[in-house]
Amino acid sequence: MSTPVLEAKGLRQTYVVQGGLFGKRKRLHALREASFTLEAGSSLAIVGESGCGKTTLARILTMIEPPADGSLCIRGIDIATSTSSQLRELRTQIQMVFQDPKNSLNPRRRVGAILEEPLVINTKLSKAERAEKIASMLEQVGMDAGLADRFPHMLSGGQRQRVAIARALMLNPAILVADEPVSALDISVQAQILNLLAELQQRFQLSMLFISHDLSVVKHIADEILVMYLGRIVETGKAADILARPKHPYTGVLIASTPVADPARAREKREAGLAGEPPSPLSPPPGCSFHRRCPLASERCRGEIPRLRRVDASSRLVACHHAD
Amino acid sequence: MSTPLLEIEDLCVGFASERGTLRAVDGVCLHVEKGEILSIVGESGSGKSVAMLALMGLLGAEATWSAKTMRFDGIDLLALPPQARRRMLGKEISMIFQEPSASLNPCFPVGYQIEEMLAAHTQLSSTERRERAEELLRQAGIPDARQRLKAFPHQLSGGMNQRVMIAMAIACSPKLLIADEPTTALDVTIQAQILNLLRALVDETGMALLLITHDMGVVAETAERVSVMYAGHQVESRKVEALFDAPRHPYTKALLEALPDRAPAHGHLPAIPGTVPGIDNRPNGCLFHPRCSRMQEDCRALEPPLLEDGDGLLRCFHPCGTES
Repeated sequence: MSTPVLEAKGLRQTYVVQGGLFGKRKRLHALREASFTLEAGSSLAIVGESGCGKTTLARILTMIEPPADGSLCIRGIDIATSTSSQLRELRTQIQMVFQDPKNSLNPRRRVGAILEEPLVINTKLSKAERAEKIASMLEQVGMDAGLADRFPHMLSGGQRQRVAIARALMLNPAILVADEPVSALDISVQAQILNLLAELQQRFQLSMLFISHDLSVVKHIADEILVMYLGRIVETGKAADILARPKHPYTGVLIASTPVADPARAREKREAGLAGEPPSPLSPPPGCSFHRRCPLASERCRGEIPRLRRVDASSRLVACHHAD
Repeated sequence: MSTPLLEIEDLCVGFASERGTLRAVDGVCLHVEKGEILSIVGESGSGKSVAMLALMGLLGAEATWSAKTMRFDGIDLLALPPQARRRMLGKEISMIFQEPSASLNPCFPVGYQIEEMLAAHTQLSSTERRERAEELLRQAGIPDARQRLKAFPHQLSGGMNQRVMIAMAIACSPKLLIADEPTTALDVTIQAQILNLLRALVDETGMALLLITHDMGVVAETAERVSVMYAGHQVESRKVEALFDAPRHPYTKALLEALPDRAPAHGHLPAIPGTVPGIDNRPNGCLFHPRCSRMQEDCRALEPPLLEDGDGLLRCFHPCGTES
């Protein structure tokens, strides 16, 4: 097998938060021991509820912030030991699309200028070459090249997200990190953007990291899934496998809680819900962090933190004492 | 058949602007039976929230509205003096919103805010109000209700705040609860809990629930009847099973097909081309005709009327399931 395009080993992140006005400073473990690989050309979805560390992980992977511990290799190069010029090159290889294009595009710059900026900073292309590249990229994302003169507010939500995707692709990155790219969009537009992402992935040979809370979207787009709960990876493996036969109880609950657009099926699974709320990441329970909400919890779960382990012949890893 | 709890016919809402009155809602007809769950579904800008704000009398001064009929529980709301109508709101009809943390007053404990509601609408003494508030929190599924009375909204999670909003909304045993995207801001496991709670309350108290949402999954799991809106028009309205099995309006059909949930994994999603027309550039004829796959000559020129169709309502010249 070729070297994975991205390899994370034991990534950790902690933040120091002030507990109230005169409160004690506390450590928040946003991410604990995240290890996974992303193969070239595949798409990996990171799934979990708010506060589970999805976005922290994305910020570390895109080198917006360094991890507190652990190593990250992009195309076989360890970012911790690279020189600043290597880092600059690596940063162009991994680009991000954010949730709400209204907030991620500068409202005072025209679409053309927004798309031109990465080229101005990172390449030595002439003005004419840049203009050509912008026009061709707009076309690739299904927009009229004439829209380069518009400001973001003159575009619809779907068009804005297309611009954000175009901006991410201007430097021909190897990896695209998409943080909830369709959750702010209407259903009819959401389908257009999902189609576009799949198309672009093929055309540009992109590896994609897709952060989402919506399992129906994940099912549609991802090859592999990584389920997170309270800063830890609880289950990872092939998307089709996991969604059909979840092994971690939390994954099961997540699937059961996702509304199904089919009245007959929806009514069957009505009562499969989960009681309680996720505990605060500031004071996670001892042992398995899911044990207080888990139907399978036993004495062992209260004391011992489950490690990610293989439970069957597939590539799936599960962090649960009771999985088999 | 008994008289419906809520009966609205031909509701129109307009907003004054420089270019004349813009119609946000046009010709909406709704019937809600006692104890029924009706869902209004539509994309952003479809007028679903505005229609309900008109019913609640919560529209701003720049809005004008009219209706042929607006009756609630046998009372003609159009003929009711404003003070009497004001007294009904919160008591007979109450409403919860999308962002619970934004709907609660951050400066007062949640218990106080619930008691305020009881003070305005009931004759209870202050001790009785306190007891009732505690009971309501318990009814809304909040653990340690007595302690939580003193909590401020920022000390509670989003899900808990939504439960507080629900406790407040059901404080005076309303006959109708309007929930405007009540779970959109919440995580899926919490969303499932809140939807279960709302359904349980409908069963227990016999109130009717009018659920506004954009999420077809939520509709399938919760609603008994559905009304689909597009660009201010009601396009189709019928029982939930019939709507999902055999949608009659091309928009409903296209919307359901665009869901990743109902499409094969990794396949091309049948997206609806184009975008929802804005309030100031609505097309002539049928509002959906520029995006419709069944469009014919008459759709361009004439606006289809909202007519009875089977057990529901339909606004289309060339509905699906009939060959032309």
